[in-house]
Amino acid sequence: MPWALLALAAAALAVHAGSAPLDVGRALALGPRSDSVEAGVFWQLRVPRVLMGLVLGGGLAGVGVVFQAMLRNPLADPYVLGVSGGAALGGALGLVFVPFGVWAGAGAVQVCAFGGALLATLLLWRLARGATGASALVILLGGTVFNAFAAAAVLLLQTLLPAQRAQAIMFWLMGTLRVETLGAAALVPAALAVLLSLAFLLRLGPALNALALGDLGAAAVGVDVTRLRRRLLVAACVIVGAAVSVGGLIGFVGLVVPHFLRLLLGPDHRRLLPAAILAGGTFLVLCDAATRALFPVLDTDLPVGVLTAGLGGPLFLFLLWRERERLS
Amino acid sequence: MIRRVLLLGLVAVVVACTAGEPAAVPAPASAPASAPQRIVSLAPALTSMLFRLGLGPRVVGVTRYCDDPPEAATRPHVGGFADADPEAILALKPDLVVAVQSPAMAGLFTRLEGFGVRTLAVQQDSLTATWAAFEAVGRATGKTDEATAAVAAARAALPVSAAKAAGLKGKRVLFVYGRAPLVVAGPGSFGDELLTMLGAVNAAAAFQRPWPKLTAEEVVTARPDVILDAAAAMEGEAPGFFTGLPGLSGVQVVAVTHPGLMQPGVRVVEGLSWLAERFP
Repeated sequence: MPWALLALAAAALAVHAGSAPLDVGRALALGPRSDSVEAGVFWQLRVPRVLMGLVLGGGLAGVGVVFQAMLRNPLADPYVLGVSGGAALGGALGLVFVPFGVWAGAGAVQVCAFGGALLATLLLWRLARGATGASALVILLGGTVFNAFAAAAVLLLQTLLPAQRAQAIMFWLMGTLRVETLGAAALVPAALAVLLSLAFLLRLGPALNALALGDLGAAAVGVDVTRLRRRLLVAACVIVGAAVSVGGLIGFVGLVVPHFLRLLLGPDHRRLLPAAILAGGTFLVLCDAATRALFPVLDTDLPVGVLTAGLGGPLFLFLLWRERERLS
Repeated sequence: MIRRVLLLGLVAVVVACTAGEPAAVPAPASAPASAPQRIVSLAPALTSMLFRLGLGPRVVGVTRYCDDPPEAATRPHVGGFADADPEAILALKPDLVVAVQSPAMAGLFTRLEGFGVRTLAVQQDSLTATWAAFEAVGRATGKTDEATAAVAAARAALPVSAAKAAGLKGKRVLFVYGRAPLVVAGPGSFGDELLTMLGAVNAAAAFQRPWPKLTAEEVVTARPDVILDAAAAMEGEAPGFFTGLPGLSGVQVVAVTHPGLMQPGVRVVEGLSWLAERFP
């Protein structure tokens, strides 16, 4: 499993990167139960952040693979289904209406964001249910339009809010792994939701391959397409909802990583999906490590979404340019 | 089926998220057993207060926005308002972290308290709140008497400075804090507090919000005699921006650049003196 080793190596490298220097060897030796600040920073701040990076990156890349196969559209990414818009709107509403006091650690915004994601998916599912053959198109268009609507609603909230709260919304939406302040009560359920859904998706690799034959072709080889779609959609929605609720909108991981690996490994989802999950985690963890290493220069850790898009965009264009003949 | 699964998932997350962590413990307001030796400030106004209390040498970390006094900017930076970094703060081994209350701070403070660091969150959205904050900072740092004295002195000095700015008395004044978007000081804002002290009439009094965003039309119908353009500090001076509007060609536009007039803080007394020089 070269991809697993790569992810492991990235994680090992990433725990060394921080906004302040830290003796990692000493922190490891002291162990997580130690009272020292050094060990506390390492075990309670850095390690959870790196683990969340692996989980969220893997989840986003995995959903990217699934959506591109399910919707037979290379532009599909985890946010295409309106899930991101729903989560953003839900979270922003949470930021507006949940009073200050409830804020601490309780993860009220995370719950609102996750609820928003579920509601958006439910809405789209309803919308697409009547359309059998065209459901992929309906879902794509519906999701895009819903995202645009949600973006407008979030902008409205930002305009009406006092500056401090508006800033909090903006920071969260920019996409960041600044999860240290959320606390275990918000992180553990999110990570569990992503991991369980990914495990579920991994079992559907062969069925995803069948889906590439088209709905009729898949049905011909014995796949219940409607049921498969529903399962994929639910699992993907849980992953994206959980990811957005803790990390905001981290772009490009779900687009670049699947395409890169499809070029490298070919279209067999039994190999592609696990590799994309591990590579997505690797990519996000490395980008996040870079943002933290840049802290002394920028006086802040850059929202990781800036880096994933900043690196992912040019990389994606380069791939397109190299493969333009094969693609046309 | 799908609805049941989604609902179940939602319930599970709600339960898991709300069951865990305890609510943030408010920092004790009474005098501490020992005065803090290593203080991190997460707001420029609080940094100013700490230095004025003579605690400058004990301030070991500030935000990237802290520049008063200039010496403050030389301290290690731990981020900004919404992005203060827990790891950078803890690396400075503080025994007190002070900040302005905000959603972004709640989670951070819970975390810091978990590491045994004392925290103090104050409100700072008006002058009244600022004086209370100053005294709270004084109590938390063992400088109670100094803080009380400084607040009393500032409170006494304010009306004296304000009275010197006689040129603004009775005038309709629009206090502009941003031109794009056009944000002005409405009722309940810091700018409104200043105008009241100066005996001026807030031309934006009709807008029932602290920081209303106006259209050019609303600026014209507010019929100001004087426009105090505090946006000049951030966005540069642009006198023609207002005088070019219909009916406002005769309006007196003054670019306000004194930091004491930008946000409530200990420098407001100097800010008013600065205004008094321009409106004798």
